[in-house]
Amino acid sequence: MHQAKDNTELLLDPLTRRSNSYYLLVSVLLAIVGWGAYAYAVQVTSGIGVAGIRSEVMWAIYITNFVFFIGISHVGALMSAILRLTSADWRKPITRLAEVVTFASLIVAVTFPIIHLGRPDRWINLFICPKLQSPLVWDLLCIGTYMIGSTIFLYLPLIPDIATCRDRLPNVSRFRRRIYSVLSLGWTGSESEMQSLEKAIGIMTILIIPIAISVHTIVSWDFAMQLRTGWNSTIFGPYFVAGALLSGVATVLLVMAALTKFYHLNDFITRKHFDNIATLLLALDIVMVYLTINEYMVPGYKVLGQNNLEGQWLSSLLWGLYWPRFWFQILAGLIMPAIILAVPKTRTITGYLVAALLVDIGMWVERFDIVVPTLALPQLPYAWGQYSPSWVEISITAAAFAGFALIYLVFTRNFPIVSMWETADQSPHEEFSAKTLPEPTRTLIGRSDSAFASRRRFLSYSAMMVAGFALGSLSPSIATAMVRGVKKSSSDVIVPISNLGESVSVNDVRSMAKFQVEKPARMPTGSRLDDVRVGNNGELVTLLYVNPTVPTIPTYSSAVGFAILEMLDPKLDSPPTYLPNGFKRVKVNLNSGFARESSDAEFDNRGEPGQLQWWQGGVHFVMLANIPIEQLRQIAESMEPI
Amino acid sequence: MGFSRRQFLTVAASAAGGAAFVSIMENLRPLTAAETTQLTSVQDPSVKKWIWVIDLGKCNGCMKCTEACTVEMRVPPAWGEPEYEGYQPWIQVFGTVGSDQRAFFMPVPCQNCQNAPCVKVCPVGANYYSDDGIVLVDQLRCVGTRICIGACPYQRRFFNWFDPPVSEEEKSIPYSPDYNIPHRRGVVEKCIWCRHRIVDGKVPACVEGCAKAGMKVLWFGDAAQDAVSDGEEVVSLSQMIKDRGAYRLKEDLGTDPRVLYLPPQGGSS
Repeated sequence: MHQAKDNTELLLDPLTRRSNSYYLLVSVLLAIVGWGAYAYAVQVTSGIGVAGIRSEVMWAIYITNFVFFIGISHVGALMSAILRLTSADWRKPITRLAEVVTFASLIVAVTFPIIHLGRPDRWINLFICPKLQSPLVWDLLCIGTYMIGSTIFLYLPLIPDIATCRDRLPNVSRFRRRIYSVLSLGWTGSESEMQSLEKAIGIMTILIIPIAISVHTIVSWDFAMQLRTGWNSTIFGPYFVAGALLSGVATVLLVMAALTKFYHLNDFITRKHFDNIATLLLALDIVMVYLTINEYMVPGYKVLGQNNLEGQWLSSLLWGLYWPRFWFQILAGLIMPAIILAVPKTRTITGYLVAALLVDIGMWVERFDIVVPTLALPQLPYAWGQYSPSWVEISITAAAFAGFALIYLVFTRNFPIVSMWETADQSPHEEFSAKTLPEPTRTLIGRSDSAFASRRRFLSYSAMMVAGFALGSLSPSIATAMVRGVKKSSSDVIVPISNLGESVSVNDVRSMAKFQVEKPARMPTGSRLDDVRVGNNGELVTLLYVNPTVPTIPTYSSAVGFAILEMLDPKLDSPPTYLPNGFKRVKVNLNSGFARESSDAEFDNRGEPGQLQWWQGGVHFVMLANIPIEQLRQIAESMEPI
Repeated sequence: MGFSRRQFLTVAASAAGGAAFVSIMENLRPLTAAETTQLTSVQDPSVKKWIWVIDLGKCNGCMKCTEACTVEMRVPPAWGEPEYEGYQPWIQVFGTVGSDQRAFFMPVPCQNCQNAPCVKVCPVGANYYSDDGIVLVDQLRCVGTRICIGACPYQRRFFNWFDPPVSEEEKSIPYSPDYNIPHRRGVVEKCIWCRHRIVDGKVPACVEGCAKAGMKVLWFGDAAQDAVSDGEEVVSLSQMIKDRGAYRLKEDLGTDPRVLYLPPQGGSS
């Protein structure tokens, strides 16, 4: 009994301390949240267009954050419910801190569906005229249920501790005393109360697991239910759930470290807890690697290297536009942490934290890569969608993370973060022992003690793991090499010269038989061919010329003085009737040879370079220069006539 | 608007997309006899079955259809969307040079799927079929989740990212999903097959624009009456399909679009 008193005092200590640094931290976090609120206000007043999202990539960071925070929230259900069911008693000191992660991340997560709406003023429509056929409505129902369920699940075991706070913290403000007395529901700690509490917790334990799994499955269905290449995956449900648990456990590891450091909970959260959670993280990481291989290997085997939509999507991830992010997530977000967590030398607290941080960053990137490249992929032959986050999106994202930290911080300063009544009979410094665990838990967790004890076992484990990873990362490329080898050997296949307007060297172009690169007649002397852009079929798209006397246009990847765009038309000697997408039709007087297109600066205020267009022998020329249109006209007039 | 970097990249990429375009065309399969019968069978002549026939053999990419559409529907600006003269191309003309160096064009309006993915996913039921099967958007109900943009396999949906400029004249027009003017911010826009015109017995504005340019690419009509028209002459739909063979885009997705494409070379091979 004496011991229990000590525990309680230790745990109540952070609730009464209010240092300057606490207030400073709260104000900093509040400031970030406030800045995010300002950014959102800008978005509401000027329109959601202030975010970087556009037609093709119409979901991006907001949805990424939504999926990420919903994912993190799963750890509460895992830690409390699953470990409670398996009677893993070591979980007791960390149950609540995981449940608070759930609570805080859910509050953050549910704001994002509202933030991303084009018409936030009409959010009520989602409740007054919901259409059950839509995955978004399933989301609404599921997340609503989960939010209520997990809040109850957090609250129930909190009741006895709130009662303790009510009884033992007489010096706190009247407002907090009132909160404690209302929330403790008149708890006295009698035997019958305890029995009903255990019963209620038991029911919630069972209920919360299917709810949690359904939530993230349905979040994955928001994507998988759409007719989109890249989201057409049947494993999206388990893939998202596994990713959710992984990122959640990583977050709990980070939170545990912060709490033990700042709240001096070393007596409760011991090295054993860190070891166990790290092992759990390793197990989940390996599950995630397995699912990732499934997700990309299956389509990869079938379509990699092909020019259909799925092949383009996959190659954009593996070695195209998005490869840095994709491989960062695979290598730094999944494989590195697994190695850190597996090698005995790096199984230190620092190692755990590095691994957890990498996993969290990797999982955020993974969600981003699920959302953005798939949307950027054109469904009809058109340009790839482009996306770069605007300051509004970045501010709101920063505010989300700050808000998460703020909710967590405020909670830990008002409620005991370690369950007092559940740890009351655990004496501080008691060594956690795997032997006391019941059978199922020992098979899941208990192994960690012995697994790496002997050198031989460690070596065999590592060898297996390396082989697995090697197979996982190499096999797609081997498959591609095989696929490509087959394609190259067939005679009449058009081998793409480059992807999607990517530039190739001038020599490459000259070596191609399809067309001759000739200098256009209207061209200032001294101009030099700088770059050539060709399409997938080898047709000439653009010639870029540089001229030393004309100011360069810095916005292009290679600064050019002139960009000459040629479009070949089958009907020679007449103005081509076809304009490529994005081009404006101009009235062309063939005698004068050029015309300026109408200015339309109303919707685009960026300073645009001057531009001349003309037709010549069925070829459409566009000349760009970073000078006023009058000057460009003078240059054009001084050039040799056709 | 000048010639922005974005437009520049767009041009490069759209020409580059030609390969994908060709592969789409290669994957097309002719409608089967059963499907043709189902499309053109006369059930109840009073129930309209609007249908669109696009003759790829005649299109020269003049974009008169897009122009007419932009004027008729007072199409909102693009704000970085795929654009035509700075506006959203509700009927967009895709073009590429085929392997025989022949230019090749394909106007794509809303496909008006009868099993429309966009209608399914809308969480508030703002997407719906009209009595005569046209997919409409109730822009007073739309909350702007944009999930329908993601769900549309033809990318025929656009979004008003900011307040569109609305003239005094447009403000006086009473809003109806049949004629979605005045336009507003934060909602999804799409081609609605000029429903305000077709209920009056006129062809959509783009069809008229095409016919006025002398192209005769776009044909619009009522499958229940087995007739399509370019606004000037009326021909038999079933005869047209029989003579040329018709295709639908991305038939394999099972969206049951109401736009038929007649192959460019004539004949269905």
